[in-house]
Amino acid sequence: MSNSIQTPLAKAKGLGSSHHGTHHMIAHNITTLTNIPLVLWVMYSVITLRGASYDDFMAWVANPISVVLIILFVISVFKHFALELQVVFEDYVSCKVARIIIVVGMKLFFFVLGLSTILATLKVALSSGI
Amino acid sequence: MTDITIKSKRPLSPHLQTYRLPYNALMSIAGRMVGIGLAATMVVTCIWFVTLVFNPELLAKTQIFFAFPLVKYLALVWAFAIFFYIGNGIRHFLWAIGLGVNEKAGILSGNIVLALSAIATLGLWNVTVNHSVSSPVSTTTVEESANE
Repeated sequence: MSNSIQTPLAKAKGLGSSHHGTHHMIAHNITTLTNIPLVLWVMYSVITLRGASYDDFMAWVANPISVVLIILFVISVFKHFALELQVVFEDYVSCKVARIIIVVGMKLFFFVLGLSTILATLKVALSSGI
Repeated sequence: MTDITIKSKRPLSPHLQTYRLPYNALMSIAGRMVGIGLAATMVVTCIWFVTLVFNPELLAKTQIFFAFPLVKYLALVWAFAIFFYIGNGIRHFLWAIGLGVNEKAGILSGNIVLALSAIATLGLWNVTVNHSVSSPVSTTTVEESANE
């Protein structure tokens, strides 16, 4: 420290909170609430679609209301689990490099899978002619 | 006082192998593990859906898979986990806005979540067992909604 021209205060500045914690917590709680109707709707749909044929199932997917709700479901649930798992990894992975790789990798994977699911839904909807 | 004496007077943190977790701690770690499990099932479900769009025969295979007796009960465990996670999420939301943040309220709300999850799962079981898969009810409702 004595070799540097920086004051101790200047060195300590910027090492504290990045002020993103509140946003994380608020987004987590909001997606908790938005997940509830979407998850219950998906559960209800899956139960009513038990034993359905492929065409029936895809007719359900292609229904305009279903398309919107499926896309909202995918966004809301993946956003929630990305925030949830980020906290889990930050709590239990102590190696900083591994933690960053795991958290970023998890978020990229969720982004790719969520986008693929949304595009698959749109593919069914747009090719159905409804 | 030297560093060594300060360290020796510090209380040890409760070690998991000798310390029985209290109710609220058990619910907390259970909620977290259920969350990780449900995240994994969400990943599997999405991969299944994307695959299904390109492989129509997967649907019949899935229906055969879920017709196995043991898998039926696993699906109910899955449903219980979802209900439990939703209830726990509401609990966390209420804590976030400052409601019920003490040990007794935590135990009470935890028990309410467990009871409601069990009731919802039993209700779901009742519906799925009493209204069997082969009924054409789903087909007609889907066709009606698709024709709108």
